Amino acid sequence: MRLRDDLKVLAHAAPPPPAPDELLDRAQAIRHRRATIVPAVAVVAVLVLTITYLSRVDAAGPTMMLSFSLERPSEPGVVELDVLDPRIDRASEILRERARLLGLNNPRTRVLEGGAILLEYEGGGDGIDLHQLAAPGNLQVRKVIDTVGIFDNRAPAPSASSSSTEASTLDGLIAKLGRVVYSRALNLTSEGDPQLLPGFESLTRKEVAMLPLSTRFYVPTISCDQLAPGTPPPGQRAVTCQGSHIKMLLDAAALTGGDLAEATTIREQLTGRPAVQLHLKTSGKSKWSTVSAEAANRVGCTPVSTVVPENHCLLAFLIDGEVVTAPQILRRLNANEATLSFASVAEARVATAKLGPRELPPGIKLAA
Amino acid sequence: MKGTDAYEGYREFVLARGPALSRAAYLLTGDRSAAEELTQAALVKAALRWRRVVATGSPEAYVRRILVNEHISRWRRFGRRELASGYHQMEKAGTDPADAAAQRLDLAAALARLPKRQRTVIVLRFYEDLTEAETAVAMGCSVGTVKSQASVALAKLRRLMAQSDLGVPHASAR
Repeated sequence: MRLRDDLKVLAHAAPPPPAPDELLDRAQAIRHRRATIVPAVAVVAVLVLTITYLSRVDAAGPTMMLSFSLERPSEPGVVELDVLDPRIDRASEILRERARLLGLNNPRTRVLEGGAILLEYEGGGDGIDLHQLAAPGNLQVRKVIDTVGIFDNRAPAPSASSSSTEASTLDGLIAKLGRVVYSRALNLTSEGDPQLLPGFESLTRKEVAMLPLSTRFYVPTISCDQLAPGTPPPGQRAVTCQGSHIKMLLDAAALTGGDLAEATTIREQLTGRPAVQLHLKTSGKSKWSTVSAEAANRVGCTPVSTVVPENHCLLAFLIDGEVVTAPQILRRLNANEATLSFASVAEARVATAKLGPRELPPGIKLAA
Repeated sequence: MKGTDAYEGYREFVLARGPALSRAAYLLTGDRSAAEELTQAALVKAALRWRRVVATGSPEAYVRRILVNEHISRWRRFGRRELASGYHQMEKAGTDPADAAAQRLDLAAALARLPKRQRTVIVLRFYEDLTEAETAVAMGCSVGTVKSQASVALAKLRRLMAQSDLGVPHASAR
């Protein structure tokens, strides 16, 4: 039997509806009661609310709110989840923990219809862009194989709208650059001469992404703006920038967020600078020891001779694909901790908030 | 009428649509006295804002939304009720063939075991025959939520019914 028919039969046992006069009598009585009681209650309520508000402002400031939605990393648009979905609890926990690490007062979350999460807090986090609470916070530690300076006497990077002549295939790109120039760039094993490599400065990100890694790195007129943003695949080499003038060729990631147990904001004892202390898991500790020894012994990387006389290699720490710091490694490091220095407490807190909590459930990302 | 235009058309509305609302309330609550209370609360609330209700152009949809909201908020206040007894009494007094009656007994018990939002979706979609969009309006949620809740609720109903070896009611929806 159909569900609809069964429900109809079940519903026959419903009680009769109340009589209209009885309902109207009740409505009139409620109206009368409201007319006399509500004004008195309203005065008391206003007083109570005012006192509560003033005491809150005095203590920690008024309640502020920021809502977050959940999205699939691979698809645009919001994912609607049942409010009881465990992934929402997980994401809420992470938000609260990130908010606490950012220094927000009394952070708490509520789940809204459709699975959106409302973060409420009472001040704090001044000067910090709270949208960063939604950032994934992917950590990667990579050996710096080599560095080059970026040739900045060039035309500005093309905008998205100027991509009408954008090549969609490698053959199209070779035709656009000219076969001679492309071959010259392909054979580079060290920083190329900008005068002999015309045309690269006006390529779009998509076109640059079609070029081999060594070409992206050694052609000095390919700028940071032209490189793909975001976290590079951990198992592959990558080209990225530190600031806007140094391009780095990076080895595959030696450590990732999975090797991290915890992150805390500290002040360095010697310098007093704000910093993030990374506490590594056992797996992270052995990887850290290995990669620091390789960098110190100049294995598979080009030493940096101009910075420190010891002439060792750099290790780049990336958060969400951006190089946060790239210290020269002087010796094998066996501790299960690493410290990253930052220019300000706010920056250090943001990094801690992004790296500290565990990862979001698979297939889900937060959007502010 | 109580001598004021503020309630014009209210009495006729209650007489015409009250029984349907009461039946929906019964399916939502699974209990006669709870259904009575729920219907009364929703209709009194509608009376208090009757002009606004009429101004929407669809009084029934508006009152149904009040009913659903009231049901959900009452559920929150008083906790989940497992009230299949009302359904059972009705079935025992029925004259249907034994199998059909037994199947409805199981349906009643299964309905009573659904969480309140899932039960509400089932009632609105398959008893009230509302579309997904209308159900979303009545429940104050998105169409996506209606779809997912309906899908989960039907699957759960089927599972509960299958456990009783009496087959699964077939659901068709607009």
